[in-house]
Amino acid sequence: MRPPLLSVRDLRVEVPSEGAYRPAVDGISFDVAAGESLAVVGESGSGKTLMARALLDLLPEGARRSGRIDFEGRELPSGAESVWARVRGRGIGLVFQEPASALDPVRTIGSQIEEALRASDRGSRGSRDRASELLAEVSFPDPLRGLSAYPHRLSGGQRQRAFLAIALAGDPLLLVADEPTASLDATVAAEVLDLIDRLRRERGLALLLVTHDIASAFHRADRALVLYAGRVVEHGPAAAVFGRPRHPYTRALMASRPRLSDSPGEAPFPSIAGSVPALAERASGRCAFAPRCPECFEACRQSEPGLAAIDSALSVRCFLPQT
Amino acid sequence: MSALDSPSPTPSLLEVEGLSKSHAGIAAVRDVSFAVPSGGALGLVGESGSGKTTIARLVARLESPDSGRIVFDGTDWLALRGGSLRRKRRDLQLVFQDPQTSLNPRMRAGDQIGEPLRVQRIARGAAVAQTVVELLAEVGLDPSIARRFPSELSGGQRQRVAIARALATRPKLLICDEPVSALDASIAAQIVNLLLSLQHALGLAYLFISHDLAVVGRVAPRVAVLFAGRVVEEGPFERVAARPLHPYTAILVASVPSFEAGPRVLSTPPRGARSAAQGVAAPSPGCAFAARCPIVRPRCREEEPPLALVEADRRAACFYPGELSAGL
Repeated sequence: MRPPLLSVRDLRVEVPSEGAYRPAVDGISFDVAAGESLAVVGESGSGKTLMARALLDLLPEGARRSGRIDFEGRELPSGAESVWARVRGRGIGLVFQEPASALDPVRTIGSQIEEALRASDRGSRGSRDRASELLAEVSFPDPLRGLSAYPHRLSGGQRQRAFLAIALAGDPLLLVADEPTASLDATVAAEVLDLIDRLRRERGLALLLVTHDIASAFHRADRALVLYAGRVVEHGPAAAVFGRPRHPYTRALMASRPRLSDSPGEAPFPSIAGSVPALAERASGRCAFAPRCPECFEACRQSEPGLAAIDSALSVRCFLPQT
Repeated sequence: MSALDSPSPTPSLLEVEGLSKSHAGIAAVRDVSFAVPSGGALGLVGESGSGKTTIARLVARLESPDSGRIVFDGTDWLALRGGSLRRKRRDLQLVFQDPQTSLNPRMRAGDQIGEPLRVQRIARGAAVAQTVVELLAEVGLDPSIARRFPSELSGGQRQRVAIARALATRPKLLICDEPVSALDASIAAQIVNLLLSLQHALGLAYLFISHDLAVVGRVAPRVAVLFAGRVVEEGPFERVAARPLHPYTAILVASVPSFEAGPRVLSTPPRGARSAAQGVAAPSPGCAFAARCPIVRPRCREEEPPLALVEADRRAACFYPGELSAGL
């Protein structure tokens, strides 16, 4: 059997908080197959962004990771800079939430794409032509003029397209997109997600989409990973996870997204009480979601449920998963 | 076309008519009219640059319009000056997107909530502290929160403090400008539920401004859709969401992620270097949406469609209303 494109085992990221190292990502395991899309969903404090950054060895100062990451069947050791430089250039492309801060404000879009082409050994002759082809591929309006534009002259959607062009320069096999549309208006956000869908189809790209918006992940992901307080609470095919959520947190998260078909005003709509606990407030030895869970009972406060398989593809961390 | 003649079951608390405002020659708000019923809610939805925050600032009198009329609670709101303006300001308060910037980081939550009571001379001394505790309870916070600084609070707690502060003067109208946009879905749901229960308990009315159509729909039975500083569609939320009349509304509706339907892709032509949603220095004669409109016709580039009654209680500024949503 071919190994998965990306394999993550027992990934843990600890960050300093109130005088101690505390796990913000706490033992996460998953695979992404070639061409597959995985949605990672959860609220602020779920650890989803740190997890995405760990996949590119781009953790903030002071954070430390353990666990194993394999890409194309080879282990990527933490801190092995030459290995990671190659992976970031050619294997894994990255798109962040805020392209305005990720793009260099004093250099043209063209020179930033050409730099990415050079970094991936694809920047020999004709790199300017290749850069404009990449801009055309991401449906950037007027690619030739776009090459000489500076980031601040562009709209938010155009900046995100330019950022995508840079991420594609090394012909990656996997795109890690961390909240790629969170700072965009709704209509532009939908366009950028549609663009990422098209790039996946045309290039056979695998996608790891980190998002707080569970509804936008639903139709764009093959599989879904739901995180709560640094732990996986539900993991499986997107159609099963979102179509028939077993974990109370997944259900609550879905219910708290307003729908257009809701009636305005009258009945309050479902919300989860409380918020994700801060790192220093996470007690071990019980379910992290217990204090907010409408279905919590005694066992949930006395021990932590394991991530248990419901069937061959689906696993849930709950003593009472809904059937 | 005036907002004043729209059929409304309750009298209007706020009536805005023909409001216009330019910033440095760029029209931010153009001829905008709407009404908020007493104890009711109107949603204003639009993307960044659509003029929604300028409208909030104009209604709150943080800026003066170039033209237009605002009747608030039976008074000619823009004509009020001095003491009568200061007293009337109690009736209209604001809640912003990011309480991190609207709250003073160096002031304890309780002092910030009590500040309007002192400034407006509604209470003094021990009565302020007592009222602060009551206001905290009203927004679902423990009295101990009063001693904390904003940095010691979560995003949801900060927004509750901002709401408590806005409620201190017992207003009739709250202008909420993107009040839940910075919050996670579960926390946003808590805040929306709080706003709904306060509305029932206190008879509050809301001008609820958001880029998120689905969130607007939770709060406001009626919605006005803004594009490039103009109202392009206005009507009852459920009918607008079910069958949009303006093509921009149709695209907005289609871009709301949904669990029920698959993504409905409405492609729009790529935009120029500046978003067409933003104000234009020298308005071209046609419809501001023409450059992005999938059903644009020659006429749309020559004249601007007026905001006109299309069907009972629904207005749209389009020569071909309903055509795009019929094709979805």
